[in-house]
Amino acid sequence: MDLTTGKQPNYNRFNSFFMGMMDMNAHPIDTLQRLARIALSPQERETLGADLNRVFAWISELESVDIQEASHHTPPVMELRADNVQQQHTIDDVLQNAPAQRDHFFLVPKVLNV
Amino acid sequence: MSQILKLTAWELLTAYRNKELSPVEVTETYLNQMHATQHHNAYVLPTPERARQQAKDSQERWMKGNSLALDGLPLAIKDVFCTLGVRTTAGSKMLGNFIPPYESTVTHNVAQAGTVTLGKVNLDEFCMGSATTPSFTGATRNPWNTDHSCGGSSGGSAAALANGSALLALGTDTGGSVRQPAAFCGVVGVKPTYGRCSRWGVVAYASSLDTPGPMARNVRDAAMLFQVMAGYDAKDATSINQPVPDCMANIEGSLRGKKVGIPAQWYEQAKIDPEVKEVWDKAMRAMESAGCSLVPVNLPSMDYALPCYYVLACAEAASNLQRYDGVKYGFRAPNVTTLEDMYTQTRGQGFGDEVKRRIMIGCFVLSHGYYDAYYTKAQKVRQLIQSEFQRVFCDVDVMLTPTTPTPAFTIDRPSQDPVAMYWNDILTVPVNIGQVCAISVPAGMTAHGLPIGLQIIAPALHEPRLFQFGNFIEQNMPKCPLPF
Repeated sequence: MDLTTGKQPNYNRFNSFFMGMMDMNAHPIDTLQRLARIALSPQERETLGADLNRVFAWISELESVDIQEASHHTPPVMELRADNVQQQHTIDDVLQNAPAQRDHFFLVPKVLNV
Repeated sequence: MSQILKLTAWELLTAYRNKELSPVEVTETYLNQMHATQHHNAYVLPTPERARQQAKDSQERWMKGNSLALDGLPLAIKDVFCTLGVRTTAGSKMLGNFIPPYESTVTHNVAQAGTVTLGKVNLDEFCMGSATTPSFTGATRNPWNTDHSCGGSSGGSAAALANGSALLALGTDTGGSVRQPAAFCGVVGVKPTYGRCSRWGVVAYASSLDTPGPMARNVRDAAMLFQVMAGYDAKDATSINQPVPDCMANIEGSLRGKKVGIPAQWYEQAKIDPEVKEVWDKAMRAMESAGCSLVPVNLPSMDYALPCYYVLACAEAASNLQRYDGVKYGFRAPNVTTLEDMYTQTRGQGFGDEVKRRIMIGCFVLSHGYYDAYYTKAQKVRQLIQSEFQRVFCDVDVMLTPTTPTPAFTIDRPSQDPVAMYWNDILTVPVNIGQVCAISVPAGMTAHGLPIGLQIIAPALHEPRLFQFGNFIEQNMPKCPLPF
């Protein structure tokens, strides 16, 4: 399914991706914007949809790589520092950049409907 | 134009030592130049008062005879390094009012060496791009020709060096973001081995690739800056716990008997601009004359480095940028009534187009059912590319390539196709994916007066080779006198 129009099945892989998502009736770009938690304007939906189609087709090149010879991935050993409590910041330091705060708490819109 | 601006780091330190110049005088000269070049939009936040205070402190140290390694040298900081009490935006509306309560390790290290911070310089939003044209802070212009791009994402750093408003600069390189703008602006840029310079306090883009690196107007100055930036940092779990090599000791060393690899598929790559190729050829001949042997090398999986990079970097970006939710710091969209609305509107209004695009690519490649096909596959391709670099470096000391396939493109280039834009990084991205190190050094000019950069690639942890070969290019290829 094409991300811009939602009609033309350009790439089977992406088509099946979107068909496999939870909401079968959702427009594909809606699915991605929901996963990313990003609100898009109608114009952005159109341009981003077209861009993403091109990018997804391009990264599909990776499918043709023969990875038989790729060695097993061993992540580098990371050194852990001692698990000691350190005073780095005060609560006021941490809250100084908060868009909304009260009584040493971050303020967010009401979550519970009570 | 003040001759002070033309002096190298080494010359300035000598002048301070001999009391011919003072850090206060030099800092004023640089602040004046910053003002005179405002139209390039290199600086997003000049910090003149801080600079004057640091210069005064430096002057005292010189007078008392207890000067530090880079005491009194003027420095520009890419606005992605968190600076205690000084706004740090990462070029994004999302962090437009963010005042870090801590200092990054790298900026701490350079301050401890006595540098004078002139201000924070421009970048692509969250380092995602190669043109330094974020909508939030506006585009930075290339000082050589203001119709052309300065490159990116460390474009402000490169432009500040090229227009004489900084002597040294800090950048970060995730897929070429230090080397490409250095090549476009005719300055030197280094991508050290991943883990050499701490990422602590650097606003994250793709954590397995992000690498802070030094930028300067010549190779020796870049080596001096690297020497103080690098070092083990317990706050960064991926920091390399090994001594930083002395990059100055053998910088003038002979190249006789060295083997220089030339990647065959890149040499035959039709998309490389003829003027860039000519400079590449010229450097090969110069190295041969100096007693090096040129060895054609084959890295068969290199063509996949670019799509591999975009899968991995976007996946990590999608994860890293989840933190921008309008709760803890940064921008929050006004007039939202529900929590979900607050998240989506904040991110919709706070991020620019390229950032949204990369987050959404990341969400796709990490989603259920497609994780293995894209993310896991890309991780294996990364392994393959790393083994190919290791194999090639059994036979050669370094590799020589151009830094970019073309000189600086025009600033109004329509970015209608993101894939075409990503191709600009084709020669720099493999270095990040391959976990090796590289330097870009100016090596010539186009007929239209734009700089051309060459890239030296060395095995991981072998930074001294970058500076040795980089110095050779600087000494033996046509000079690019900076436009100020």
